[in-house]
Amino acid sequence: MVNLFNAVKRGCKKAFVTYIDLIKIIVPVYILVTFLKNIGIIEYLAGFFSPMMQLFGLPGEAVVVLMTGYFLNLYAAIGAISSLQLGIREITILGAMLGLAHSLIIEGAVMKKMRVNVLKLVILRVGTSLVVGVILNLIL
Amino acid sequence: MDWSKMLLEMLSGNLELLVDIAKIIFPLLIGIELADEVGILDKVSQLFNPFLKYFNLPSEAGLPLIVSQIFGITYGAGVIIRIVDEDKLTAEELMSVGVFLAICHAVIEDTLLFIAIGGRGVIMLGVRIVLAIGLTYIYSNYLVNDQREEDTTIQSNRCTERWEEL
Repeated sequence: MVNLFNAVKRGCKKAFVTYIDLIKIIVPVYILVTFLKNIGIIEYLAGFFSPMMQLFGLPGEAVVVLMTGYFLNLYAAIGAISSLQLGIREITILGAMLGLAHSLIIEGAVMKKMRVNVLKLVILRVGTSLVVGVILNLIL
Repeated sequence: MDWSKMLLEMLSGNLELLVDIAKIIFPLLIGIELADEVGILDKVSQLFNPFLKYFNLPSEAGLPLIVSQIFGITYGAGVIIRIVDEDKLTAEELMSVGVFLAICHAVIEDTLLFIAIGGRGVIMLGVRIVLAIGLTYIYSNYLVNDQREEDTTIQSNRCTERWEEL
Protein backbone atom coordinates (compact mmCIF):
# COMPACT_ATOMS: atom_id res chain seq x y z
CA MET A 1 0.00 0.00 0.00
CA VAL A 2 1.13 3.52 -0.73
CA ASN A 3 2.07 5.27 2.48
CA LEU A 4 2.46 8.97 1.83
CA PHE A 5 2.95 9.91 5.47
CA ASN A 6 5.96 7.60 5.80
CA ALA A 7 7.39 8.95 2.57
CA VAL A 8 7.17 12.53 3.88
CA LYS A 9 8.78 11.39 7.14
CA ARG A 10 11.62 9.68 5.24
CA GLY A 11 12.07 12.76 3.04
CA CYS A 12 12.27 15.05 6.09
CA LYS A 13 14.85 12.81 7.72
CA LYS A 14 17.02 12.67 4.59
CA ALA A 15 16.65 16.41 4.02
CA PHE A 16 17.65 17.10 7.62
CA VAL A 17 20.76 14.89 7.40
CA THR A 18 21.74 16.42 4.04
CA TYR A 19 21.11 19.91 5.36
CA ILE A 20 23.35 19.36 8.40
CA ASP A 21 26.12 17.94 6.15
CA LEU A 22 25.76 20.95 3.94
CA ILE A 23 25.85 23.48 6.79
CA LYS A 24 29.06 21.88 8.05
CA ILE A 25 30.69 22.75 4.71
CA ILE A 26 29.03 26.01 3.66
CA VAL A 27 29.36 27.89 6.95
CA PRO A 28 33.12 27.34 7.46
CA VAL A 29 33.89 28.14 3.81
CA TYR A 30 31.74 31.25 3.94
CA ILE A 31 33.49 32.40 7.13
CA LEU A 32 36.95 31.56 5.79
CA VAL A 33 36.43 33.38 2.48
CA THR A 34 34.93 36.43 4.22
CA PHE A 35 37.95 36.42 6.53
CA LEU A 36 40.48 36.02 3.69
CA LYS A 37 38.70 38.81 1.84
CA ASN A 38 38.97 41.13 4.84
CA ILE A 39 42.68 40.53 5.39
CA GLY A 40 43.40 41.09 1.68
CA ILE A 41 44.47 37.61 0.57
CA ILE A 42 41.61 37.22 -1.90
CA GLU A 43 42.55 40.56 -3.45
CA TYR A 44 46.12 39.33 -3.94
CA LEU A 45 44.94 36.06 -5.56
CA ALA A 46 42.45 38.01 -7.65
CA GLY A 47 45.14 40.26 -9.07
CA PHE A 48 47.27 37.26 -9.98
CA PHE A 49 44.49 35.25 -11.68
CA SER A 50 42.49 38.10 -13.17
CA PRO A 51 43.92 37.77 -16.74
CA MET A 52 42.96 34.07 -16.80
CA MET A 53 39.52 34.66 -15.28
CA GLN A 54 38.83 37.40 -17.86
CA LEU A 55 38.52 34.62 -20.45
CA PHE A 56 35.37 33.49 -18.60
CA GLY A 57 34.13 37.03 -18.00
CA LEU A 58 34.74 36.60 -14.29
CA PRO A 59 36.53 38.81 -11.77
CA GLY A 60 39.84 37.52 -10.39
CA GLU A 61 38.28 36.60 -7.02
CA ALA A 62 36.18 33.96 -8.77
CA VAL A 63 39.27 31.75 -9.00
CA VAL A 64 38.59 30.91 -5.34
CA VAL A 65 35.07 29.75 -6.25
CA LEU A 66 36.30 27.61 -9.15
CA MET A 67 39.01 25.94 -7.07
CA THR A 68 36.77 25.19 -4.07
CA GLY A 69 34.18 23.77 -6.47
CA TYR A 70 36.64 21.65 -8.46
CA PHE A 71 38.51 20.23 -5.47
CA LEU A 72 35.96 20.32 -2.61
CA ASN A 73 32.32 20.40 -3.71
CA LEU A 74 29.45 22.55 -4.92
CA TYR A 75 28.28 23.44 -1.44
CA ALA A 76 31.67 24.89 -0.60
CA ALA A 77 31.65 26.79 -3.90
CA ILE A 78 28.21 28.20 -3.04
CA GLY A 79 29.57 29.36 0.32
CA ALA A 80 32.43 31.07 -1.51
CA ILE A 81 30.15 32.70 -4.13
CA SER A 82 27.88 34.12 -1.45
CA SER A 83 30.75 35.70 0.44
CA LEU A 84 31.94 37.48 -2.71
CA GLN A 85 29.68 40.02 -4.41
CA LEU A 86 28.96 38.60 -7.86
CA GLY A 87 26.24 39.47 -10.39
CA ILE A 88 23.67 37.22 -12.09
CA ARG A 89 25.83 36.82 -15.21
CA GLU A 90 28.89 35.78 -13.19
CA ILE A 91 26.92 33.34 -11.02
CA THR A 92 25.33 31.78 -14.12
CA ILE A 93 28.73 31.26 -15.78
CA LEU A 94 30.19 29.83 -12.56
CA GLY A 95 27.10 27.63 -12.09
CA ALA A 96 27.44 26.17 -15.58
CA MET A 97 31.21 25.65 -15.26
CA LEU A 98 30.94 24.07 -11.81
CA GLY A 99 27.90 21.99 -12.76
CA LEU A 100 30.07 20.28 -15.38
CA ALA A 101 33.09 19.78 -13.13
CA HIS A 102 32.95 19.62 -9.33
CA SER A 103 34.04 17.41 -6.39
CA LEU A 104 36.58 15.92 -8.78
CA ILE A 105 38.40 14.02 -6.03
CA ILE A 106 35.40 12.46 -4.26
CA GLU A 107 33.37 11.76 -7.40
CA GLY A 108 36.50 10.48 -9.11
CA ALA A 109 36.95 7.95 -6.31
CA VAL A 110 33.32 6.83 -6.65
CA MET A 111 33.57 6.51 -10.43
CA LYS A 112 36.73 4.44 -10.08
CA LYS A 113 34.53 1.76 -8.53
CA MET A 114 32.51 1.78 -11.76
CA ARG A 115 35.64 0.45 -13.45
CA VAL A 116 35.80 3.30 -15.94
CA ASN A 117 38.81 5.37 -16.96
CA VAL A 118 38.53 8.11 -14.34
CA LEU A 119 41.44 10.20 -15.62
CA LYS A 120 39.83 10.55 -19.06
CA LEU A 121 36.51 11.52 -17.46
CA VAL A 122 38.15 14.13 -15.21
CA ILE A 123 39.94 15.63 -18.22
CA LEU A 124 36.62 15.62 -20.11
CA ARG A 125 34.84 17.38 -17.22
CA VAL A 126 37.46 20.09 -16.67
CA GLY A 127 37.88 20.55 -20.43
CA THR A 128 34.15 21.04 -21.09
CA SER A 129 33.92 23.26 -18.02
CA LEU A 130 36.63 25.64 -19.27
CA VAL A 131 35.33 25.66 -22.87
CA VAL A 132 31.76 26.35 -21.70
CA GLY A 133 33.05 29.20 -19.52
CA VAL A 134 34.69 30.85 -22.53
CA ILE A 135 31.64 30.29 -24.78
CA LEU A 136 29.13 31.60 -22.22
CA ASN A 137 31.31 34.67 -21.73
CA LEU A 138 31.05 35.32 -25.48
CA ILE A 139 27.30 34.77 -25.88
CA LEU A 140 25.79 35.98 -22.57
CA MET B 1 40.30 46.07 9.42
CA ASP B 2 36.81 46.41 10.85
CA TRP B 3 36.22 43.26 12.89
CA SER B 4 32.67 43.99 14.02
CA LYS B 5 31.58 44.76 10.46
CA MET B 6 33.17 41.53 9.28
CA LEU B 7 31.47 39.44 11.97
CA LEU B 8 28.12 41.02 11.20
CA GLU B 9 28.64 40.27 7.50
CA MET B 10 29.46 36.64 8.31
CA LEU B 11 26.39 36.21 10.50
CA SER B 12 23.75 37.87 8.33
CA GLY B 13 25.14 36.44 5.09
CA ASN B 14 25.32 32.94 6.49
CA LEU B 15 21.77 33.06 7.86
CA GLU B 16 20.32 34.30 4.59
CA LEU B 17 22.17 31.64 2.63
CA LEU B 18 21.12 28.83 4.99
CA VAL B 19 17.44 29.83 4.81
CA ASP B 20 17.59 29.92 0.99
CA ILE B 21 19.15 26.47 0.87
CA ALA B 22 16.66 24.97 3.35
CA LYS B 23 13.86 26.18 1.07
CA ILE B 24 15.31 23.95 -1.65
CA ILE B 25 16.62 20.87 0.12
CA PHE B 26 13.50 20.06 2.18
CA PRO B 27 10.84 20.29 -0.58
CA LEU B 28 13.17 18.54 -3.05
CA LEU B 29 13.99 15.52 -0.89
CA ILE B 30 10.43 15.14 0.39
CA GLY B 31 9.22 15.38 -3.20
CA ILE B 32 11.62 12.64 -4.32
CA GLU B 33 10.48 10.31 -1.53
CA LEU B 34 6.82 10.93 -2.44
CA ALA B 35 7.54 10.31 -6.12
CA ASP B 36 9.32 7.08 -5.22
CA GLU B 37 6.42 5.94 -2.99
CA VAL B 38 3.80 6.61 -5.67
CA GLY B 39 5.96 4.81 -8.25
CA ILE B 40 6.73 7.74 -10.51
CA LEU B 41 10.46 6.95 -10.44
CA ASP B 42 9.97 3.74 -12.40
CA LYS B 43 7.99 5.60 -15.02
CA VAL B 44 10.59 8.38 -15.18
CA SER B 45 13.36 5.83 -15.68
CA GLN B 46 11.50 4.64 -18.80
CA LEU B 47 11.96 8.14 -20.22
CA PHE B 48 15.60 7.21 -20.73
CA ASN B 49 14.77 4.20 -22.93
CA PRO B 50 14.66 6.08 -26.27
CA PHE B 51 18.02 7.70 -25.45
CA LEU B 52 19.59 4.37 -24.52
CA LYS B 53 19.02 3.15 -28.06
CA TYR B 54 20.95 6.10 -29.50
CA PHE B 55 23.77 5.49 -27.01
CA ASN B 56 23.93 1.79 -28.00
CA LEU B 57 23.15 0.87 -24.39
CA PRO B 58 20.98 -1.99 -23.07
CA SER B 59 17.97 -1.19 -20.87
CA GLU B 60 19.96 -2.16 -17.74
CA ALA B 61 21.85 1.12 -18.11
CA GLY B 62 18.64 3.10 -17.48
CA LEU B 63 18.57 2.58 -13.73
CA PRO B 64 22.05 3.91 -12.84
CA LEU B 65 21.43 6.87 -15.16
CA ILE B 66 18.16 7.87 -13.50
CA VAL B 67 19.32 7.12 -9.94
CA SER B 68 22.31 9.42 -10.30
CA GLN B 69 20.12 12.20 -11.71
CA ILE B 70 18.04 12.07 -8.55
CA PHE B 71 20.49 11.12 -5.81
CA GLY B 72 23.83 12.21 -7.29
CA ILE B 73 26.94 10.15 -7.92
CA THR B 74 28.01 9.80 -4.31
CA TYR B 75 24.60 8.77 -2.96
CA GLY B 76 23.69 6.86 -6.12
CA ALA B 77 27.00 4.99 -6.02
CA GLY B 78 25.44 1.96 -4.31
CA VAL B 79 23.09 1.28 -7.22
CA ILE B 80 25.73 2.04 -9.84
CA ILE B 81 28.32 -0.26 -8.30
CA ARG B 82 25.77 -3.04 -7.81
CA ILE B 83 24.94 -2.97 -11.52
CA VAL B 84 28.64 -2.92 -12.40
CA ASP B 85 29.22 -5.96 -10.17
CA GLU B 86 26.37 -7.83 -11.85
CA ASP B 87 28.43 -7.65 -15.08
CA LYS B 88 25.45 -6.73 -17.20
CA LEU B 89 27.33 -4.01 -19.05
CA THR B 90 30.51 -4.31 -21.10
CA ALA B 91 33.52 -2.07 -20.47
CA GLU B 92 32.59 0.18 -23.42
CA GLU B 93 28.99 0.47 -22.24
CA LEU B 94 30.16 1.37 -18.74
CA MET B 95 32.37 4.10 -20.18
CA SER B 96 29.38 5.48 -22.16
CA VAL B 97 27.38 5.59 -18.91
CA GLY B 98 30.45 7.16 -17.27
CA VAL B 99 30.68 9.94 -19.87
CA PHE B 100 27.01 10.80 -19.38
CA LEU B 101 27.20 10.70 -15.59
CA ALA B 102 30.48 12.62 -15.35
CA ILE B 103 28.80 15.57 -17.04
CA CYS B 104 25.20 15.24 -15.96
CA HIS B 105 24.15 14.04 -12.51
CA ALA B 106 22.05 15.43 -9.65
CA VAL B 107 21.09 18.20 -12.08
CA ILE B 108 17.90 19.15 -10.26
CA GLU B 109 19.56 19.77 -6.90
CA ASP B 110 22.69 21.43 -8.35
CA THR B 111 20.68 23.76 -10.55
CA LEU B 112 18.25 24.73 -7.79
CA LEU B 113 21.13 25.53 -5.42
CA PHE B 114 22.65 27.89 -7.97
CA ILE B 115 19.23 29.43 -8.68
CA ALA B 116 18.93 30.08 -4.94
CA ILE B 117 22.03 32.27 -5.01
CA GLY B 118 20.96 34.09 -8.18
CA GLY B 119 22.01 32.09 -11.25
CA ARG B 120 19.91 31.55 -14.37
CA GLY B 121 18.61 27.99 -14.30
CA VAL B 122 17.77 27.47 -17.97
CA ILE B 123 21.35 28.13 -19.04
CA MET B 124 23.02 26.13 -16.26
CA LEU B 125 20.72 23.14 -16.75
CA GLY B 126 20.62 23.35 -20.55
CA VAL B 127 24.41 23.30 -20.93
CA ARG B 128 24.77 20.12 -18.89
CA ILE B 129 21.92 18.20 -20.54
CA VAL B 130 22.88 19.15 -24.10
CA LEU B 131 26.57 18.37 -23.54
CA ALA B 132 25.84 15.07 -21.78
CA ILE B 133 23.55 13.84 -24.57
CA GLY B 134 25.83 15.15 -27.33
CA LEU B 135 29.11 13.84 -25.95
CA THR B 136 27.70 10.44 -24.95
CA TYR B 137 26.24 10.10 -28.46
CA ILE B 138 29.58 10.94 -30.04
CA TYR B 139 31.48 8.65 -27.68
CA SER B 140 29.18 5.65 -27.96
CA ASN B 141 28.71 5.89 -31.73
CA TYR B 142 32.10 6.98 -33.04
CA LEU B 143 34.79 6.43 -30.44
CA VAL B 144 33.65 3.03 -29.14
CA ASN B 145 33.47 1.51 -32.60
CA ASP B 146 37.08 2.47 -33.28
CA GLN B 147 38.07 0.84 -30.01
CA ARG B 148 36.23 -2.33 -30.91
CA GLU B 149 38.08 -2.50 -34.19
CA GLU B 150 41.33 -2.03 -32.31
CA ASP B 151 40.30 -4.75 -29.86
CA THR B 152 39.57 -7.19 -32.66
CA THR B 153 42.84 -6.41 -34.40
CA ILE B 154 44.69 -6.96 -31.12
CA GLN B 155 42.83 -10.21 -30.64
CA SER B 156 43.58 -11.35 -34.17
CA ASN B 157 47.23 -10.43 -33.64
CA ARG B 158 47.25 -12.53 -30.49
CA CYS B 159 45.64 -15.36 -32.41
CA THR B 160 48.31 -15.26 -35.09
CA GLU B 161 51.01 -15.08 -32.39
CA ARG B 162 49.59 -18.17 -30.74
CA TRP B 163 49.29 -19.84 -34.09
CA GLU B 164 52.95 -19.17 -34.74
CA GLU B 165 53.87 -20.52 -31.30
CA LEU B 166 52.03 -23.70 -32.10
